[in-house]
Amino acid sequence: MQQNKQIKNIFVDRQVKNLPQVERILSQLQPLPVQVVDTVEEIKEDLCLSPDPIAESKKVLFLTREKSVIRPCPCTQGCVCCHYWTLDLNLNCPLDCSYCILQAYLNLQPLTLAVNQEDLQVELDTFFSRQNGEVLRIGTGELGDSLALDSISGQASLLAGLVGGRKRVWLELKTKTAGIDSLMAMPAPENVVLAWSLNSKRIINSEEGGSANFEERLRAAFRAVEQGYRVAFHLDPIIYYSDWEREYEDIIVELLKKIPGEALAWVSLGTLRFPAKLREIARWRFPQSMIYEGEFIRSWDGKFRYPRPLRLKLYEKFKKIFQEYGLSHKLYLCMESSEVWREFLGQNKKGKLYTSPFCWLD
Amino acid sequence: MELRQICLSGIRLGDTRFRFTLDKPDEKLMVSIQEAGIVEPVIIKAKDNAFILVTGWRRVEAAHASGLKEVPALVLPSELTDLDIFRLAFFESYAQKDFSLAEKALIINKFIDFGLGQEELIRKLLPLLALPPERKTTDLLDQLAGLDWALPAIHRCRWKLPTARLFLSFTHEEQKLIISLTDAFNHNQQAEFIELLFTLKKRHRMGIEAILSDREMEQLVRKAKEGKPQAGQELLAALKKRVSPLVTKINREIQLAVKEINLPDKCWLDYDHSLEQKSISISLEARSAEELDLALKDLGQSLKAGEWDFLFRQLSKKIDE
Repeated sequence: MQQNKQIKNIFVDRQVKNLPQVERILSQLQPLPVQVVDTVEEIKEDLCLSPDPIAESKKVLFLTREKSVIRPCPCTQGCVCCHYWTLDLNLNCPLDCSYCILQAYLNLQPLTLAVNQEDLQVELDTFFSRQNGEVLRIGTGELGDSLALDSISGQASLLAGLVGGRKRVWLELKTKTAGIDSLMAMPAPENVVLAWSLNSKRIINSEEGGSANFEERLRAAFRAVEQGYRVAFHLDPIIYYSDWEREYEDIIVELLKKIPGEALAWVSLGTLRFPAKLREIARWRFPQSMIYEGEFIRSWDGKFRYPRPLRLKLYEKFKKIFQEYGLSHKLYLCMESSEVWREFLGQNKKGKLYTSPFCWLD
Repeated sequence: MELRQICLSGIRLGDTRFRFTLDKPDEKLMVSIQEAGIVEPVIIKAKDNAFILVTGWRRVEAAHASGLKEVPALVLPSELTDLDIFRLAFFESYAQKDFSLAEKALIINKFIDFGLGQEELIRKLLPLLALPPERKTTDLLDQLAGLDWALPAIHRCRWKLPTARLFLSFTHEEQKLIISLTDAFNHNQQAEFIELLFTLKKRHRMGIEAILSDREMEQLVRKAKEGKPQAGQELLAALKKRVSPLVTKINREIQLAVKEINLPDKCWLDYDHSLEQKSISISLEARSAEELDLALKDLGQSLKAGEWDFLFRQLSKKIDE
């Protein structure tokens, strides 16, 4: 599915209207209407009149300048931090997942692309020059899919070019699409990881609107491996439902049969978690979705999570499958408490717990 | 505007087109009016030899109840449209009153009826009412205003937007049942009650009548309707048990394990009931080193006797064990 096909309107920030990249993007999207604005607020004023402003915000593209795009990943207080850095070149996402936190987080923000590429290069150079020898993981995909708009933005190959080859730095591009053409047109840098968020086929079909299906994602990952890329997978959010065990096992086995272990950079596991505000929005936007009606506790950070014993049961099942393929050491948990990490890793890994979960990268 | 003394019998109280406040006259207002009459004029619109009340509903009701025959009133110029008048009524109250969600629903509904455009409603009015400035807010509140029979309870119980949104998803019969039980709960409990019913209804794909139809629930609902003390809390607890069977079961087992331990006097044990932490905390009360020593020895003995092993096993228990 081509996500840029859903764009109906384009707005350009007056500050960037003369940049060559803007001209290039607009030429690809002709004949869509283009309007120059001074602030994003002008766009939001119209979005709020829509019956579903979140859906509407995904049809409006805004090209702008971002002063700074590198930020430490906002791991919830009380969770074991994986020291990730985010590159927020996009705000909002053309995909429409029922569990997406952006629904509660972005306040009517249109699909926003930062087009000031020269500033990005300077910021990256400054950031890496301050690196003190530790392994850095940095990636897009925190505030929008890394590749969904790549066919018009060209950001993925740009970033791969800027970060590729840097020592002790891993660039991760995270997606639920199969749109990797621009990356396949270049030699694979060793430190660029293409990552796919995965879920059971049932959950992909029912909860991940506009995304590529499981087979398409797996084919794209295999293609990336053939091109020489390392790949990663995020089994997140894991949903507990009646057939979860069999259906998740099916996709993991399919995945591990297709993707060679040595090409796997890492695999994250995370169970469904959400603030109350997201549930309120999602129940209204996705009335058919059942994912918010499970058994949850309100956890230390105010978010709803499955009870710890249930989360552990889910994680252990996943670990067991990866163990059978000798790949459980590639697993880490996303936004989990130290209590769960401790149980998941077992006592012998306890020493590593509070430093970095990525012992294999050190 | 012209200030006049108006005969109360000339005001058509049945015409509530400009009314959006839901408070009734309270004791203080009654005393004030009995002692000093109505000092601040109400606002009215003249229509066909009678008057329609615009503002001052509580004062007029209190005046009626106090046996007054006349009230001072400002009569609005006839050229004003109903929208102009309603705007005036709204802003007259705006500075003085925190509107409840039910009142906000009426305000929005009436502004729509009087022809205020969506853009002005969303961009100007919703922010004034501290509501999210989105079309879906006006749609929801307009729908809520249609449930005039439920508005007094929603007003009294100070519901918030998320609770109202869930409430609207129930059938008319279910809404009636929910409203009939509101008095058994405080504000926070009501929000929780509706949330729990919503979850159970959706999870089990059954109506709330069926959810509340087993013997335990039926008894609790009856007690809650009769206004028995603690009935609301008991009903909530029973619903929570159904929404969270796993946490309920594990907590019950942990509590049984705690009971097996002979804790010394003035020693208390606690644990994380959400089960996020597997650890326990123990607090002791001691006024001297001897008292503390004694309590620690007692604890040590109970530890040696193996009374704690079961508790720690329960706290670490995996689901399939």
